[in-house]
Amino acid sequence: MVSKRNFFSIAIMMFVLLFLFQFSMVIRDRQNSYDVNENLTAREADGKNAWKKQQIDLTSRMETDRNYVLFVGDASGEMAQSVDRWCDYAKWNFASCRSMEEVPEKLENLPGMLILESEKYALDNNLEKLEKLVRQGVIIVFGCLEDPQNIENNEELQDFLGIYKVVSESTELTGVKLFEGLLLGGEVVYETPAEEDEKERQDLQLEVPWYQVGSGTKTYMVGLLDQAKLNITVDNEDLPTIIWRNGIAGGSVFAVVGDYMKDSTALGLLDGMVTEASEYYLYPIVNAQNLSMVNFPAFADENSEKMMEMYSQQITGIGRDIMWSSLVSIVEKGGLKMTCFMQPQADYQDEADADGKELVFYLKQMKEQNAEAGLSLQYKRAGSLKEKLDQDAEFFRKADSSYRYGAAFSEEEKLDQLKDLMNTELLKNVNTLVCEYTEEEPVISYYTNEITLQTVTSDGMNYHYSDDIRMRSIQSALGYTNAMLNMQDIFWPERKSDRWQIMQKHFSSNLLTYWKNFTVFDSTTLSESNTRTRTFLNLDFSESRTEDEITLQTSQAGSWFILRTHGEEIADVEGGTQTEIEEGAYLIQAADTTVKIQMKTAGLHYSK
Amino acid sequence: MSMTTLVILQFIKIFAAYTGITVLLPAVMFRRILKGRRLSEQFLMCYTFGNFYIINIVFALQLMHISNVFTLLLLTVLLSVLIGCRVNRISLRTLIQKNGKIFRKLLQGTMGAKEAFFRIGRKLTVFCKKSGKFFYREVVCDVLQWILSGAVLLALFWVYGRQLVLTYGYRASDIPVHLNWINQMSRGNLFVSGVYPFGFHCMIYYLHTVFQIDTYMILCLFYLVQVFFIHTVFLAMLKLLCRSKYLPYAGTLIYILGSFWARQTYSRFYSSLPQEFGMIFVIPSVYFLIRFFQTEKEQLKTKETKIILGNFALAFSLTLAIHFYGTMIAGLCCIGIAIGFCTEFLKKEYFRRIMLTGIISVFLAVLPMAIAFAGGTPMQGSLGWGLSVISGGKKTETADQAKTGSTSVQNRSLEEIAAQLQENGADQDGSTADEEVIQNTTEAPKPSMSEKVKSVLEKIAQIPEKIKKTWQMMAQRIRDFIINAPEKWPSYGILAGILLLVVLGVVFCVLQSASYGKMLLSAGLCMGILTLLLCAGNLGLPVLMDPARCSIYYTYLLAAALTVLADGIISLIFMPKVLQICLNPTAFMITVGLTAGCINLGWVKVSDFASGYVSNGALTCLTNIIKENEDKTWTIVSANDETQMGLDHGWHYETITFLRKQEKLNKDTEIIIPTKNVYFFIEKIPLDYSVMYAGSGQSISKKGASQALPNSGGIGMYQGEGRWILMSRMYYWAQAFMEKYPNDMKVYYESEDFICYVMPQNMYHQYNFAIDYGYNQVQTQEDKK
Repeated sequence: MVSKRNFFSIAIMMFVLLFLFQFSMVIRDRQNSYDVNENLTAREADGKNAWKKQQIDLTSRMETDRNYVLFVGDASGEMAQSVDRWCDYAKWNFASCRSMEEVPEKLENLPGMLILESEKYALDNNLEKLEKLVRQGVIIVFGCLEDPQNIENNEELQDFLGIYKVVSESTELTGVKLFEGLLLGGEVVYETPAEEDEKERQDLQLEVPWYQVGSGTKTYMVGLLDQAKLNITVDNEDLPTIIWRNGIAGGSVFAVVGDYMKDSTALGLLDGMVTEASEYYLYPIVNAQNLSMVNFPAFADENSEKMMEMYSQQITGIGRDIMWSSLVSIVEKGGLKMTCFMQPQADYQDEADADGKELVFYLKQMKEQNAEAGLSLQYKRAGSLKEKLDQDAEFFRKADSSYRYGAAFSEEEKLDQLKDLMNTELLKNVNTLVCEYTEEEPVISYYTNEITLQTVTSDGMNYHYSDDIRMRSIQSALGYTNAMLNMQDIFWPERKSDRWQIMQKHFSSNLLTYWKNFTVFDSTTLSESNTRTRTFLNLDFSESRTEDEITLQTSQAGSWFILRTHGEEIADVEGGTQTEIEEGAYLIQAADTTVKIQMKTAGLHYSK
Repeated sequence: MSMTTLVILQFIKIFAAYTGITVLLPAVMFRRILKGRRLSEQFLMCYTFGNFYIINIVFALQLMHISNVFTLLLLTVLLSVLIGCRVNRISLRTLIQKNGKIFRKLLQGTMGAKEAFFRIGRKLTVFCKKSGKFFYREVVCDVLQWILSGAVLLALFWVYGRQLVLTYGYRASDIPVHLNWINQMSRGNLFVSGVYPFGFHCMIYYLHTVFQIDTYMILCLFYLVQVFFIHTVFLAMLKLLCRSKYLPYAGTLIYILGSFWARQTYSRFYSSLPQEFGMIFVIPSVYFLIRFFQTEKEQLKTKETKIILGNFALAFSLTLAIHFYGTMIAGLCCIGIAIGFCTEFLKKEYFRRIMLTGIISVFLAVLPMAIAFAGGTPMQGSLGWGLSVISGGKKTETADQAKTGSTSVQNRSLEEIAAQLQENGADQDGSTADEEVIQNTTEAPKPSMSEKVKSVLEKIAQIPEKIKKTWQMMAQRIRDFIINAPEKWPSYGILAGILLLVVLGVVFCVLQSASYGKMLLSAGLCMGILTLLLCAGNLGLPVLMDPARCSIYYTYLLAAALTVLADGIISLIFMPKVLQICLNPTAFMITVGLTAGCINLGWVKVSDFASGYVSNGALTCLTNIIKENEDKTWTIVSANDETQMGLDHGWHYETITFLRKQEKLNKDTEIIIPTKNVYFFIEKIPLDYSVMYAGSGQSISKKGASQALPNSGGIGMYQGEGRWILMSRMYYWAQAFMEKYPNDMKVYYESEDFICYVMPQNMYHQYNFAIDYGYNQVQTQEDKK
């Protein structure tokens, strides 16, 4: 028998325990200001102050206060567009021309970098001019070596490019290997996987001419061969070279085989090339790592028959009980912040209406995860976008939520329609838009003077090798990423693979594998990233070096930069902070408008 | 950390390690035997045994091909315990039981850590107390001696020690050869170039393997340890032989400081070389032999005699195990001592013992070499030559010398080369005279009896003249090789001193101080025999050793002989009991006076602090490269020295190979060096590497680079002008390569006379280092056809 005294003691102890456990939960719940978007900033017309590059007119008397890129080729082509965007980000001026004759020769008018759309611009007498330019310190980039015959028959051009031999005009690769140095993120091999379900990752251009480079060159990317199949043994040094540099009299000639310079991949490659050709290179970046959960959570139990068949639950149940916990686990492992673009309803013409009872739950959960809620403007069926927005506004009003949404996701094709709707009740606070990756839009830009556009850089579920190279390249150029997980396919499956189990597996493995080298960059929500994007797009900077000190002048305090050196280390930073990204690459935050970076003087362990 | 600090720390480590295993370990092992002896004798005994012990452990394990850090340590400890227990009469079983009990208690937890520490602490306290007492007895009670010892140390560091921190590199070109032999021992290849006295190599190998010190570093720093022991042994012997307390210090100080000694008599002391290491054991051999002959006949059967003879055997075998020249000198000294102590030597009891000991000592030294030889390892070149000389084949020696004339240059210092040239000249003169005599003889008609008598009488009449000539020749020889003075009197003084030693020895024998007198007599006779060796060529005797090398031993023993002469003189002066009290004060005054005089008159050796073989920059770079990189991830492209220096850590590529491969450059020329980092060592002011030429000391230049690549074999291309051409070429190659890779290739280190470049590589896709650098021939495909 338990005595009264003991019974009382036990009861008191249990009560204390209960109180101790529950007290914290109650406090946490009560203190959760879930209805406030802390990352939101007021909508301002910052776009008016955006830095604009100078379009240099080669025919007139040129005056430029900074380095400029001269593009030789089709100015309306994909490569020209990529180079043009890079100039915006790297704060270089830009000029283009159709032929080598137009390239200025006067020393004071020389471009910092000359990009040839293809090798055909280097034929005949042009090569002599190029040789002169490279000796004068101009970085020459062959954006795409298109026709191997042009090279095979021209020994001077081969020498200029550092090509020892054109082994074959076309050869079949099994993959490519990207060496460390050109892009951030280290060495990586993109070889076609053996597993059947992984094979689709390989989407790189594998039919390439086989150029073997000679002495004086430095290789950044090579093609891999199936030597057993070809019945030959090829030394690593003799593998088909895809990106390389040839050193001539202290100058640099870069060559690229394939279409890597024709999309956003060019951004990082160009920064890498400037780095490789210079003693050091300091350039601005955004420093924002975003994770966009598009169309999640959903609040209407739509497509219920299919959902019941696949998951024995409705959409809201799947989202709350299955998906949310998995997402939280992945995000915590990856150290990222989520921005969840809510989709109250996908089909506005069916009978299933959105139910707002889960809204508070998600907002609280997001608050605890430092996530942000955004709006998804994607839908399956609705009269119009405006009608969807009205119905969604009605949904949030009914749910009695005062949360102000700062970010919205829209399909790229609907961006034009959206301009007139940005001041509607639901979108009046939105100051950044997100759309899927497309070459039509720059990676980051001003959508209007008041609103920024941050495109998705990678689809977390369908991730291919070209996506990874592009992701690395954008990370190298901007320190920016926006990985997207669009749940539309899960809630409205069309293929066998559109199942959460499969998608989640792909997403988690992709996110935890390919992004792990970039954890040094800050994880942000889209609203946080928006602030940094504005700073980046608006900033202007200059830098100079005297012996071991680099002085950076920036127009925006709080802006971010990457300093890339060739093994040199930072000793101290005045007016900012620094973090090492990898060997020879440092992330610099300018706390002030003037930052002084002191480099370590080269010293030996055992000095003289 | 600076290189200077590193070098000092490494030296301390090497010194402590070497002293620990060769002096302290035997001191612990033989503490019962050593008890009651004079400190100098204790030192000589321990040091002799310690070296013998370690060298033979290495020999044994190497011959069994099981030599590594674990086996070396295990055998050292095991044998030390066994010998220690036996000598000190400690029951091994009791020792094991006692220690086992403690360990068991510790493992069982019945003895806590506190108790264990307390016990260790108690033992340490006892040890410290004993050390304190020892310090009080030996130092505090005899301050003057320790002040003089300090002066000896100071003099050593002044003359030899400063090089340690000013010149990191070695100073003899044959060190890479020894380094190679030692490196090969680490790879299980004893006697890699044939059977050779490997005692020195065994010791360095032991220090490298057990104490994990890089061999190249040991060879750069060990010279000072060697020098320290050369002089300590010298001092210890004098302390034991002299009657006065302080004169031994005078002898040692004068030997260290005196700039009047010819340069080649001490120039090799700046290098870690087997000959000088072997030289250390000549003196213990001499001392223990004298000590044996000084033993009373009645005491010959005692254990003490066995110990003395044992030590003599060890010391003599060490000279043979380390370098033959030491054995020759020790052997000649033994003859001198045997003559000096002929009254004992010719007695059966002494003769039997000493001959047996001699045979055993030779056997001990030769055994490892004989085993290897029996196993099919041929003799090393110089060993074959040495044996032929010993067997009297002078012609072989001359032919061999002529044959190896050009290559042997690299193995000698400039002074030696100069001395050798002088010697050859003298030899030529001598041989010409001999030939003339022979010709005269053959051309002369057969003499009649009266003519024969006449001739004999004439010859007898010529004897005084011949003696005079010989006397003059000897003095000249001493002036050429021993004394650095233009005046003639010092040479005559030395000869007179040697004669005086003999006379003094006889005097003491007459004055009832036979033991001391015979020692003096022996010293005089030893020096007399060594004088004959020094003048062998001119006297028509077989040249067992070239005078330049002989002079090193000669001066070493001469300094000792002159000290005992001085000791003999003042002992004679203060022989009466009343005056004996003045002996030590006079000796002290003489010591101080001589040292002060030497310093005052500026007769102090001046070191030049330069290495003609390795620049400070190269050694600094190598040390840093080893420190900063993982092993086997780097290659040094340089002249040949770094091949062996970095063998345990990285790779090496010969400069000449590097340049020759791209001398005729075409599209197919390829130089791939498959390591993560490639370092290029370039001397901006190329070293001569013992071969001087008209432009010696000049800087690399375009003119040098435009010369044809040297076409000589061996290391010829790295000497003199060849080195200047190669370094000039390498410099302009580096400039051209840097133009191609301005941000990849970096200057790793630069000083006024040396530059090192580093080129990091992508290991998957390596660079082709063959480029057109403006001084090689670029061939097009058409040229090739």
